[in-house]
Formats: sequence, structure tokens, C-alpha cells
Amino acid sequence: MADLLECTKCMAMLGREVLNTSEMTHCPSCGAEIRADIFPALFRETAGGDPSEILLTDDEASCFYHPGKKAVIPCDACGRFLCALCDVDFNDRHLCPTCLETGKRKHTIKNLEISRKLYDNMALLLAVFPAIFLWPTIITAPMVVFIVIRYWEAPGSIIPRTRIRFILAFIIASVQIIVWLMVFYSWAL
Amino acid sequence: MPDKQKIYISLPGKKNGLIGKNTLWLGKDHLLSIHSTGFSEHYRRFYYDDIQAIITRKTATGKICNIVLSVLGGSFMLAFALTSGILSGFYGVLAGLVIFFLLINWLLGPTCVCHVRTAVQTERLTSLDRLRTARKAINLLKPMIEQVQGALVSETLKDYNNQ
Repeated sequence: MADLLECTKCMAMLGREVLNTSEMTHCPSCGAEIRADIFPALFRETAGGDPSEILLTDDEASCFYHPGKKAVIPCDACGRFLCALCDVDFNDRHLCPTCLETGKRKHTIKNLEISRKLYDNMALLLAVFPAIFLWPTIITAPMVVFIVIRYWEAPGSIIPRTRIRFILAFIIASVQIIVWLMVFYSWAL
Repeated sequence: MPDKQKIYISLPGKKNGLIGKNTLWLGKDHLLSIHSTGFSEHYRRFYYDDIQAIITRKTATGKICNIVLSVLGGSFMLAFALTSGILSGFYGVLAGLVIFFLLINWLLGPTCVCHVRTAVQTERLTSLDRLRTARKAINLLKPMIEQVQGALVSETLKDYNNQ
């Protein structure tokens, strides 16, 4: 049996008549114009998790994390034996919790990333915005050069893009540094 | 040069907020919602296999904005007509700006809120705030979901009980 859908305004249950219509229909309760596109997942029974089996004989392999449980699969990353409880089926790979956590921390499993810092945007903003006020560029220009060099290889946006922002930031910061050097030189003279 | 297959395809709709912007992208096996603040991006993924429903509801926000802008524009135009000199020019510019935004709002069409539902959450897709944009996005998203889950047959709808 499928879970019923609710109107997102009045939380009333939506009937069959408002589902999968290509045009807007009306919520039977509040009258709001609504369109609900449903998919087979709504009718899917939630599968229970596999219980791990207890190790019965000595010649059976045991789970690395639960020595009393029978191993069913090795981890695709580190090769450790895993019981049904420890096996994380993710992106068509079987991983142990440790490798999953490591993949998230080292950004090797892209689909686990929930955020990224955009160093290229930071560098460009730091190169451009202080230039309006002129004087802060004496500090920000070297910072921009540092950011560009330090984070050149760092992963940028998850949507692939060029390094044009880094390049522009570097050029602008370099020009600012050269100008300041010329100013200092002229003062020294 | 070999053709690079796009990892993500952009969906229509881009919502600019005070702090950042929201965009939607179609991945190979999931829908990606990105909230970008300029210095960082935050991601939410909805796997096609998990999506149970997409619910779009029309809202009155667009209409209310039109009314407010119309009243404001009318007031400024009245002020423009009743004053003279620099003040009149000032009101004229304001009236022009307000009418410009009114026109933009009217052209963009009715507003809506769009939610995606899975077994564990009902999440709002912030970037789909206009009905026209939401329709286009859903028309692109539906085939991807149906490719993974299969199309819903009418007999299955009989399992949806009315209570």
C-alpha cells in the first residue's frame, strides 16, 4: 500500500484524481492549484536490512569489525571482510564504514561531498573588490597570489569549470603588486 | 580533442537569495541541488531511484508582488504629475524603475513552490519558484526518474488508497 501524498499548503491527503495529471488541478481541501507527479518508488515496500549471521564454525571467515559474525563480502577499497551489517552498498561498490568515512574526508568519493570551498571565487573577489578602495590592495594582492598558488590544485566547484577565475585573480593581483612596487620605488627616489 | 560528456546538466531555474543562489542539476543517477554563497557551495542529492513524487503548487506571491508594485508605481506616477523640477524627475525615475520591475514580474509568470518527496523527506526545490520554469524542469527530470524506476502503470495507481 502506498503512502498518501499531502498538499504542501494545507497538509490534506491528496486523492488519486490529482495525481499524474499533466495540468494543474485543485487540492480537494484548500483549493490550491497543485500538480503531483508520482513514481513507482511511492509504492515500493521498504526492504528490511540484512541481519548479519553469527559465526558457527572456525573455518568460516569472520567480519573484521565483528569477529563473532560471518563475513559475506570483502570491502572493495581495503579488502577487509565484512558482515551484512558492516557492508555499505554505495555507488555499486561494497565499502566498510571506515573507507566510506575516509572517502568522504579525502574527497575521493564525490557523491558524499556535501560542501566545497570556492577558492577561485575567493581569490577573484579579493583581487577585485579591495581595488575600489585602493589602499587595501597592499595587503590583499599578496594574499591573492598566495591563495592562487596554494589552492591551484584544490577541487573547485562540483560542476566542472575552468581556472579562469584563478588566472584573472592572479593577473589582477600581480598588476597591483607591480603598481605598489613602482609607488614605493618612486617614494624611495 | 575527445568529446567530454557533461557530468551534470543544468536544469532551468536559478533562485538568487540574499545570501546565495540555488540551482538544480541533472546527474547520471541523481538530482543535485546546489546552494552557492559565492565562497562555498552546499550540495543536496536526490537519487532518481528514491524520488517518490514531485509536488508543484501555485502560490499567490507573484500576484501580490504585482499588486504592490502597481500601487507603488501608481503613487510615484501621481507624485511625478503633481510635482515639478528635480523632485518630479526623481519621482519619474522611481516610477520608471517600479514599472520596469512590474513588467519583469508579470513576464516571468505565476509563482509556485516545488517539493520533491522521498521515503524520508519532503524537500523544497528553491530554484523552481516560477510555474513555467518548474514545468520545464519537471519535463526534463521525469524521463531520468522513469529511466531508473520505470514508468508508472495505471494499474499501480489502484494501490493508492483514498482514505
